[in-house]
Amino acid sequence: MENLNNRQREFLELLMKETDFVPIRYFAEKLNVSTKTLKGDLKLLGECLEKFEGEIVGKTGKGICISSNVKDNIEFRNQLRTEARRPPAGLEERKAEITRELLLASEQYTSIQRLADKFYVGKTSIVNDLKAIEEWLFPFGLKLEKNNRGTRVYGKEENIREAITSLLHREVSRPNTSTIYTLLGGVCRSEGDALQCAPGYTYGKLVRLDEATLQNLLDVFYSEDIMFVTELLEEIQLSEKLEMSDVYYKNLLTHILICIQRVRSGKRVEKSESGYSGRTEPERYAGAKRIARRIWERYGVDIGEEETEYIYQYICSLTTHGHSAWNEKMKSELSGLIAEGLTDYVSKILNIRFPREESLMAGLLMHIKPLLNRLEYRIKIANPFLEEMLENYPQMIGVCQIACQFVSEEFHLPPISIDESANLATYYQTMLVRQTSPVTVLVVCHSGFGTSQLLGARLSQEFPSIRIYDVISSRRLREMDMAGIDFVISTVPLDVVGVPYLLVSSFLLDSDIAAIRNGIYLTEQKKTAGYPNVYASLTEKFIYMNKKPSGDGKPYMEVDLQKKFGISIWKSKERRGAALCIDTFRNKVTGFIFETDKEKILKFLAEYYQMALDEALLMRMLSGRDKKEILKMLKDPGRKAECSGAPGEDDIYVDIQCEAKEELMELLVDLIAKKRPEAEKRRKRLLNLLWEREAEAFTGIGNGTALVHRVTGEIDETVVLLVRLKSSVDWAREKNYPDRVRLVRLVLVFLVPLKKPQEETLRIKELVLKLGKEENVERILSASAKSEIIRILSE
Amino acid sequence: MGRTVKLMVCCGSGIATSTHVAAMVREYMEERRIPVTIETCSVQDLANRLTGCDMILSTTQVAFGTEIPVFSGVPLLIGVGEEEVLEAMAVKMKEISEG
Repeated sequence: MENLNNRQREFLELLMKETDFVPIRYFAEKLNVSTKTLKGDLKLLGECLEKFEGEIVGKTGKGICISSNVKDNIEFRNQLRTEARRPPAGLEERKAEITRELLLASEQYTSIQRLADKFYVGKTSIVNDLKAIEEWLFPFGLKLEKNNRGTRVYGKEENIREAITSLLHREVSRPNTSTIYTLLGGVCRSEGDALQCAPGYTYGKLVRLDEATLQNLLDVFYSEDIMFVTELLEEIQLSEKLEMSDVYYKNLLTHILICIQRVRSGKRVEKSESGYSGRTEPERYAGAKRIARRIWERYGVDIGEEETEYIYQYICSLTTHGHSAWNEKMKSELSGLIAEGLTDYVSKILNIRFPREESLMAGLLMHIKPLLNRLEYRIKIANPFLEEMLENYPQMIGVCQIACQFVSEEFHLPPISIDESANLATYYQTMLVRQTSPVTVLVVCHSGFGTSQLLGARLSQEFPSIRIYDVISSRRLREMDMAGIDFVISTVPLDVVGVPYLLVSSFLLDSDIAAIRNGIYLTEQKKTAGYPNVYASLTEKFIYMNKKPSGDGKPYMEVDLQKKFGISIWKSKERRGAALCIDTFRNKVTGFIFETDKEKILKFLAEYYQMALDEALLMRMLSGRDKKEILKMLKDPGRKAECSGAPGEDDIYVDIQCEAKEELMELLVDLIAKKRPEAEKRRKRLLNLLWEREAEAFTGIGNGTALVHRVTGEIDETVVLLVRLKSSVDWAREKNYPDRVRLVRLVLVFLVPLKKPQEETLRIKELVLKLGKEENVERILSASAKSEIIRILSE
Repeated sequence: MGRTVKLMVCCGSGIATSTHVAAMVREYMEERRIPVTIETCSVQDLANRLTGCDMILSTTQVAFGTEIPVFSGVPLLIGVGEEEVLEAMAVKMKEISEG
């Protein structure tokens, strides 16, 4: 993979992300090159994939796709990841450098001509760069001031610092390790002896910084300054007993560096209006004071009271361990409420009940407490892992953004940035990963002890995939909050509990197992394949193809759950309900919600969240041009599964009573006639044909299963029926075959027209193969519902 | 390992019992690492599809004479003498494959 250039590598990464065939044109647009170029690259990529036994498959009219074995190849993924040099987010190198210059020398004007000379590009390029920079600066509340003296950044000092911080935490990887070694050289005697430290320095301090951050810092600050501040922080941490996580450490380090730099060039923060006078944590203030004193000692500049206060606030908002102070207590109460509120919203949208695990709450609290401080002091920290997180679990971050918005509104907090939401999302994501099963059940019995505990144990043995939320007594059930519980398994009859419940024997009989299996199936169906709320409020009018719904004002919230799916919430009075916008150019579906009632919004959100996970549905929506078709998909998302070869519910007959084979054959012809009008008049002929086949050779295939079938011109379309008999019928009376072959309880009937479509034949063959397996037959025979039979056959 | 043996499995329609029996043979031969490709067809089609075919397994009567060894698939359907047929086929296949 070493010989790939950046584009080829990126191309490979894009290919890895796709699950289906995608036209080359799409990649060409993304990578901003011609399709011809990419076609050239394909050969090289193919060679590189050979080592991993993979290939790029091309299909005429459909596009290209990477073979799936490579996608799962860990070694390959790792290599691609480590070698990938991702382009910096948002700003390219030159723009980043200009931005840096503008921000660091914010009092000075610079001219376009000067910049053009400096970067050896035309003035137009610079003008374009400045446009992009202006957009980038906007969220920070900064503007570019342009007049006859030149261009400069204009805005509040705090905002400028924030922008610098953000620029510094940008993920960049320029392999320029030599400088880093030079810097490390200051600490280490030699490269080969890297861990041996020079007197007075500890290598450990720099270890807390990753290469990319260090590189970024080096672009702006002198290495001596970086060394000085790292040492300073080390000292403060030891003397003031402050503990901070790496992310916070990095933020504080950057903050102090910027502070020194800004103060030296005469830029100070204004006295903040929201000035925080009561210093509740004297230890931390002492820490801030000490930092100020050391800066004065070294650089001979007094950073002043405001700056010290600023650093103090920073320390407060970054460290996790609280000391005594009355508002500390209040804050922890508030954080508890916020953590609960967040969890509540997230679990409603995800339709999942998070287990009562202390670690989740503890983790959340650890984050929320300092978060509250940061919100109070209006300090924004950058999340250096944001991009990576967005790549790995965008849905969860999206959901957390929504939940944060709701919570911050409820508690009158300032808006919570995506960097912060993403941090919180990590905790939920971890719980989600740990939670292996999507189906949660509650076990109920008389006492909650003894037999029901046994039942619980047997259930988890029988169904390793379900999660037993709790085993409780029927009395306690009344007080239970049933949110997130899919169904209740009970040994005692219950009143209505709001969720489906199954009455079982505490000894878990076979029929119970079948019923539970069906319950799990139905729940899974409901979970993965239902958009009832969205569907109910949609009409063709509210599906927008390549245009946006008209509406004035601003959306209440806009969040992307993944690159193909976004959500847009509007608090509109005119219209209530959902709308879908399908943008085939951007390859993205947007789910709109027009609603003011939070509960209703949450219901839509839960469905949209499912939609974001249903990649297949999104692909179908994006390729379906017809609004009717899209409505159909939403009405019945599971329809596709039915086409997999299993007969539909109408074609399955269970517990049919028949005495003899002759009787059954007559019945089968009746059933066929019901299905195909042309068969009605030809009953006799069909019956003869089926008997002919029976005479030709034995049609049983063991395990009490028989295949009654014929290829015939008497029928226009394929008919497939499955009949389960109440008691077995002797299939070969005159023969001396063993019982398990001779006595038939399950009959698959199929008639195939002469001009049989290849696909249908394959479908039937697959069914035959499934019925050939003893285990499947057993399950079908004990299935309690037709839906379960369909599932067994389409697995 | 020798060359791959081509087996044609046939039944009345080429869809039902042949598919089932073919799956059984495939499993059995895979376990014994005997290289085999299996195709299915209807008994009417059989005569036209014998090119390159080494063995035939049929669940119905094969009406014409042929040089190619023919095995009966009925034991596989009724579960009596199942092992014997599979074993006999395996021996023959090895012979063809290594022969």
